[in-house]
This record gives sequence, structure tokens and C-alpha cells, in this order.
Amino acid sequence: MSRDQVSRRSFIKGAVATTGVAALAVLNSKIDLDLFHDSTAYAGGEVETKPGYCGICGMECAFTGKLVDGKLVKLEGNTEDLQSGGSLCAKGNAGINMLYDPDRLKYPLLRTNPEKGIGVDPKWKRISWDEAFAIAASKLDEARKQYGGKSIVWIGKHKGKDFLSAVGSPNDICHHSTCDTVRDVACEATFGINSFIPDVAESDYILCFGWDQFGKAKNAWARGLSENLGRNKGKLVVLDPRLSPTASKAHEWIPVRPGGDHAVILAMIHVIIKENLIDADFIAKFTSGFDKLVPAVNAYTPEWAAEISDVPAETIVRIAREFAAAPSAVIPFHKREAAQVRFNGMSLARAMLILMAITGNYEKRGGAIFARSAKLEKMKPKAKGKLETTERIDGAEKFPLLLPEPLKGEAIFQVVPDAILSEKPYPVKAAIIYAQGLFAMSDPQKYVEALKKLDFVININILPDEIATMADLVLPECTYLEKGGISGRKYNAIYTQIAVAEAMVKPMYESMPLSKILNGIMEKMGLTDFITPSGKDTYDLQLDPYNVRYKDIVKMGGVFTPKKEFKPKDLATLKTHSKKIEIYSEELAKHGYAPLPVHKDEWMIAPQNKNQFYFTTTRMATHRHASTQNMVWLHEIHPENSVVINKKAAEKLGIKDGEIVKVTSPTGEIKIKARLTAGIRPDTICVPHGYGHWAKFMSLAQGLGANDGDIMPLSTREETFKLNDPSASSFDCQFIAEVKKL
Amino acid sequence: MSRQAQLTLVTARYSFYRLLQLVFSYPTKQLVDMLQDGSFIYTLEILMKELRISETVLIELKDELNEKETDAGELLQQMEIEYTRLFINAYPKAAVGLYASLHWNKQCVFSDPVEFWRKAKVALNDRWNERSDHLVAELGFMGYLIEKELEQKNRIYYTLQNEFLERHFLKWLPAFCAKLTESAESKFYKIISRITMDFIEKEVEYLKVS
Repeated sequence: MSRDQVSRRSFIKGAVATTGVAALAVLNSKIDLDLFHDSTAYAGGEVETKPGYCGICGMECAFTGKLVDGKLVKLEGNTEDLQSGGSLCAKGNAGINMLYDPDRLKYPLLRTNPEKGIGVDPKWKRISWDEAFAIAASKLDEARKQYGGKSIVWIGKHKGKDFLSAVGSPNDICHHSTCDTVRDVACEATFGINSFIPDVAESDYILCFGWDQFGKAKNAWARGLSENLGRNKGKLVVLDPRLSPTASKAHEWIPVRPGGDHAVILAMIHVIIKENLIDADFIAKFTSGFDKLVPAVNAYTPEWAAEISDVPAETIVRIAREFAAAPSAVIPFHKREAAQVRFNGMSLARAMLILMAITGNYEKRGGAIFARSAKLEKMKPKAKGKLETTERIDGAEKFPLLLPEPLKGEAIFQVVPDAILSEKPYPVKAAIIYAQGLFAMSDPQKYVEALKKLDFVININILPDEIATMADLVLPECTYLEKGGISGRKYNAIYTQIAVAEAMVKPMYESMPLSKILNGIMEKMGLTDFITPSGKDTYDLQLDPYNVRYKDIVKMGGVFTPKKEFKPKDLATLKTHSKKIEIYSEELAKHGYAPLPVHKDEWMIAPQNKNQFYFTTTRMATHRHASTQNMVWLHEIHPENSVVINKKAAEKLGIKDGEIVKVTSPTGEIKIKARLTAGIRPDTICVPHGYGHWAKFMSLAQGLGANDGDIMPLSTREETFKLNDPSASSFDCQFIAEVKKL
Repeated sequence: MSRQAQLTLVTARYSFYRLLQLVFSYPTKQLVDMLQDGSFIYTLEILMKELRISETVLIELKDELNEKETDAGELLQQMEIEYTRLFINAYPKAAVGLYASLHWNKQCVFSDPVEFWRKAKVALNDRWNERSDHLVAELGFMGYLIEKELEQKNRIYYTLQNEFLERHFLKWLPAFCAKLTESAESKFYKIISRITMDFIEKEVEYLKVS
């Protein structure tokens, strides 16, 4: 018998003798109330370090986590890492807040209030994981049996493919059509890869159409840009209707009219061709279709572009010459900038890629580089599912560049509310929503209506945000700091680097990694054979191609670099029709889209009176979308947003700084504080994204600021099909907003 | 005080901490059964008598439980919803929360409970998956110190109880109880809040906190 058992027995005896049977009731509780044991574990403030990589944004910067007595106290960037370069951004540093957020979801929660809506209390009760898996499986099976597997939709990051193929549903809906599908599709159509790395750290000329990295802080790029400027290496030119943080550090800020970027770049191409500033050798060896480009841009003169963009013709000519003459030049673009938010976005993106091609700026330091992501061994499930249909609720199968194959591509996020409400092409009955907030959707009111229509909504989440309050069953995922992993990363992969993570702490409360949650549901549904193996047991298998083990990379500090060398790729072996960079895109032509950039007057909109403005949006550097506003350090820096409006324009409307104003659009209205500045065009306003949370479970974030999405339009399926843009993007700043005093 | 009387008193204190651990843990069928069969109130009566805590509040609790007369399953669900609302994820106000750091007296530097564990040479069991400053853990710590005091007859554990109460518990528990009284919709948790404060006041006397 152990010492503890002996002392417990005599103690209980004593208790019975003194306080009677009553005490036994609590002493013999079925809940484990004996929480402590003798230990010297906390003898001296023990310090431990562990490697990890950040999970706040997709960059996955590697870091070292410092723990004191088992508590995570600091995250420090890994100096060997191409992504973090030894530093983390504010968001990365604040990851600790996410881990220890008292508001975070801790246990599976079941809704007991059948009524749903904005501001409605779900009246959750905590349930066990066993119950949660049983309920989830039962409800999903019910939907499957009555309406088919296709009636189940996955909304969120692309992590549900095992599940979807097991149940036979093609409906894998991520948010990327409101984010970066223009870049993806434009890049695929041009060089057969869906993105590129803008090597801003080494560039001699960086030309930005928006791309406010100091404002949005994608770590590696913001740092690279900062280092470049610090060394006085390159020239930074920013075209942006607003004096963004990046524009404020630029050598030149050009306040282009919103939507006018496209005309500027077409005119730049015109100038470079006309003045024979092209890299003829590069064009001949590595591109196709240049001969078709020449006549296509003939009409796009700097004078023509000046009228549309408010950028003087001589400025356009000058920057075209500068760009072409620079030893290396790059036009970075990523998501939700000029290229993603207006109807001319796809053409603008293609024009940017073409401009870099005709000046020979691919696969060289300081130009556009294709990522050297690690090729980890892929694990496979035992069985492969069969889709019931390839017809999806978002109609993405009609956009072959967006979705080349079922379950392999992107989605048309903005039509999902319409699809659910109209039951076209067929009814949706259940949804699993993962890592996707309500505010990722414009016009969230309509999304709420759609979610109310579903029979059962499962939300896998970390925070009790707006989506969680709309769900029937909420399942707590653990944070990235509570699980291990391996990542091949791509964002700044100038050469291949693999990062590994150890769990900083074990999952808190009863949270679980996503894989375990999905496994639990799928096991209950009898779909075990469709689960792709993952987790610790697969790490060394994944690393097989690199002949290194997970434990070894941990010992190295968390980052493994097979070869620290940038070697330009052969640009004559690309996955395009011509095997080269396609100035004239055969792929776009094949599917009936414009194979070259083209301007259309019908795309241009404009304010008509002093109350009307072009609408733009941005992110705070300290926040990521609408998911970090409850993190205490980040909340302290930027607790709320405002509508940024030109001082003189505001004066004409009698609006003072800090005053609450109404901003309306055909979609809706918001009430928000005005922030007056000279640093934005008088015809333009900007509302940063991520605020206006109404989920009162988030004690810091709720009730502050306003949601830009409330005034941004959604599209129906038919509207998207009619627009027939190859990227099927949401183009959600393609509208005019009105500002009025309250 | 005789030795027997001392033992009775300390045991009653220990049992009270255990009882509070039980009520501040997620409601179970066991708790509901104890509420409905009267053993919960009976236990409280004995312990409060022993500790010289006024039992008037128990009349309210009896009335509340008599009024309810609900089916055990229904009562359990009501308590589960209320507990989730108050302590896990709450609506429409911010959660009351069971963590010391949420209610800490902002005039004072936060004293991490881990410091006290270090001094007492104890640690939380691995199966505990909540934060270290969770009320149930901190109540458990006091209970464990009492156990060690009785087992080893070492005055150091009494001193540690005094320190933990003065430097930690008293810096947040009153604010927690006040918020719980204000936020609770069920009378049960309002009454528990008062009972907790009454007990802590007796602890202040017993442990001679200045």
C-alpha cells in the first residue's frame, strides 16, 4: 500500500469519527478532487525551450518557445529561418494570448436553444467528447441517408478532404475567392504554379499596387522590405489611394484612383514595348505569346491611363523606364489588394506578371521566385472515397482554372449563402465549419440566414466567435501551441527549409487537434479506412525524402535546411502549354477567357457626389482578419477600427475627427468612428477589416468598431456565372459607399 | 482546544474545501442526487455548525430545492447550462470565470499559485487539464495543505495556508463571489457564492490573517 493511501485511510477514519458520515459524501466524490501530489517539479523556476512554428497566418515562421515551470512565457523567432529570420511579428509574439485566453473554447458544447440568430444566446451545455462524436456522427449520417453525402458541406480551410471523399460530397468550400484566387489563377495561367515569392529583400525596384506589407505584416516580406530600405538598396514605389504604412516608407507614393492601377500597368507595358526596354533575350528563351501582346497594348497609352488613374502620364513613363532599367525588379501581390477586389483584378494580375516577364524578372534574386517548398512524403488512407457528384453548390466546377479537379482547387465562397437559401443546385442540410469566422463572408447577415436554414451545423473552433454562436455543436480545437507538426512552408522558400514543432504544452482543457476530432467523428460513422494517417507516428515517414528524422530536426533547433542555396529554375520546363511563361495564356484562351490583359470601360465605377466614395479595406498590422481581436496584447494596441476619410472631404460633410458616422452601401450600413487624415484621396474611404464582433463570448473583442463586411456585397451563383471571371473572385470592393453624419 | 476538537475542526475545514471543489466543478448526477436526497444540505449543516458559520442561508437553499421539484435529469441539464454560462463561455455578459487572474485585485501584483506549490513542494497531477489558477485547483491546494498538516503534524503547512489565503485567495475571491452573486441566474449559485464568502471569512479568523 502506498504512503498516500495509508495517510488517506487514517484521515478518513478520523473524519468519520469526528464529523460523521456527512463528510464521507464529499470525500468519496466521483469527481477526481485529489489534484495534487508531492513533487519538487517546481523546485527552482525551471526553464525549458522547445521549437515550433507559428499558426496565426500561413507563413509558419519558426520560433523557439520558452517555458518557465511548464508555462509558456515567450516566443522568439528562429534566426536560421527564412520566414521569421529571428523575429516574430506582433501577432506571432501574441500567440501566448491565444493559448491562455480565458474566453477560448474548452469543452465540447451542445446548443440547447433551438432559436438562432445574431445576439441569440445558444444556451450551451458542456458535453463529453464521446457524446459529441456520437451526436455529430448521427446527425451527419442522417443528412447523408436522406439527402446524400453531397448535402454535407465543409466550409473552411482545406482540411476536410478525407471526410468529404468518404461521404461522397464534392463541397469543399474555403474562403479564398474573397482572398487570393485572382493571384492563384493568374499565376497558374501564366506559369503553371499558383504563386510566386516576391524577393523584396534583394530587389532593386519594388513596385506595389497596394500590397501594404508594413500595414499587414506578413513577417518575412515586411522584414525583407524593411531590411532592403535599411540598406538603401532598392527603390520602393507604392500606388495606393491611401498613404498606407508601406506608402509612408516608400521613396514615392502615388495616390492612384481605385481601379486605376490596371490602366497604369497596361500603359507601363505599352511604354516598355514602344521604347524597346524589354529583355529580348529572356522573352525569346522563356516566354511565349509576346508577339500577340504588342498589338494588344497599343491603345493603352500613358495619356489614356492618366485619365483613368489620375497618375500623370509622365509619371507612368518614368516608372516604366525605371522598372525596366533596374537590375532586378518585382511587383509583389498576394491577396485582397488592387488585384483581388475589383472587376479588373484578373487582368491587372496578369498584367503585373507579364510586366515582370517582359523585363526578365523571374527566377533571379530581387525578382519573382518560385517557392522551393519541401516535398514531404504524402501519407495515404487505406481507402479512397467516391464522390456522388462533381456538381457543387458553389458551381466551382464551371471554373476549370479555379477547380481543375474535384476536391483539388479552390471554391466560390461568396455564393454559399445564396446556394443554401435557394437550394440550388440541391439542398444542403449539414455543415462542418472549420477555422472560418463569420466575418470572412461579406454581408454576414445573409450568411446567418443561410446557417439558420441548415439542419445541423458543427463548428470546430478555438474561440467562441460569431460562427460558434450559430452552431448546434461546437468542438474545441487546440491551438498550434498545443500540438506538434512538420511543415515544408512556401511563403519565403527561396531555398527549401523544413520546420518542425513540438507541442509547447499539452492541449488545455479538453481541446484536441483537428485530426483527432475528425478521426473521432469518422470512426463513429464507420469511415476509419478513409482517414489519412497523421500525427507523431508519421513524422519520420514524411521526412523520408530528406533522410532526416524529426528528433534530429528538434535537436537542430527546429529548422532543417538541406541546402542553403538559391539556384534559378529552368523556365523552359514549366507546366504550361508552351512549357514557358505564357504572356498569351493558352489555358485562358482554351476555356474562353481573355488570354491577354484587357481594359473594359464597363468595369469602371465612380462616386457621383460629395457623400459618395470609393471603398477600400485593409488589415491592421497587429491583427489577422477577424480572428485575433480577443488576444489581449493585440487588443491593447488596436482595439477598434475607424473609417479613414480625407480631412477636406470630411469638412465638406461637416464631419469631425472621432465622430460616429454612417457608412452605407447597397448591401447595408455601419456606424463607425471617423478618422480624418490628409493621407487618403478625397474620393476614397478605408475601413480596416476584423472588427465589429457581436459574439459577446469574446470579452475583449465584442462591441468594438464595425464590420466592413456588413457593407460589402455578396453574389448569387447566377451573378458569378454571368461575370464569368476565371478566378470567380468576390471582387467585394466593386461598389460605391456613402458617408453621412448621424 | 482539546486535540479531538482540533481534529474535528480541521477535518471540517478540509471537507468544506472538498465540498466547494465539488460545487465549482462541472455539475454531475452525483451532485444532483445529493441535492435532491438532502445529503448536500445535511453535509453543509454539519460542517457549518462545526465551523460556526451561520446556517440561515441554508433555509433559502432548502426552499429553492423544494420549489424546484424537477426531475433529476432536467435539474442536471439546468445546472449544466447555468454552469457553462457562468464559468465556461458566458452570454450576454462576459464570463464570471473560475480563474484567479480574471478577478485579481489590480492594485496588487499577481501572485502565481505555482509559487505557493513550489514552496509546499507539491505539483498538480498530469490529468488536470485546466489552468493552474482555476478555483477548483486552488481549493484543492488548500485541502492538500490541510491533509499534509494532519499527516505530518508540521506547522509549516498551517503557515502556508495562511500565506496562500492572505497573499492569493483574498486578492480575488471576494471579487469573484461578488460577480457570481450578480451574474448567477439560479439561486443555487447565488447561495453558494454567499456560503463561500462566509467560509472564507471563518478561514481568515482561523488562520489569523491580519
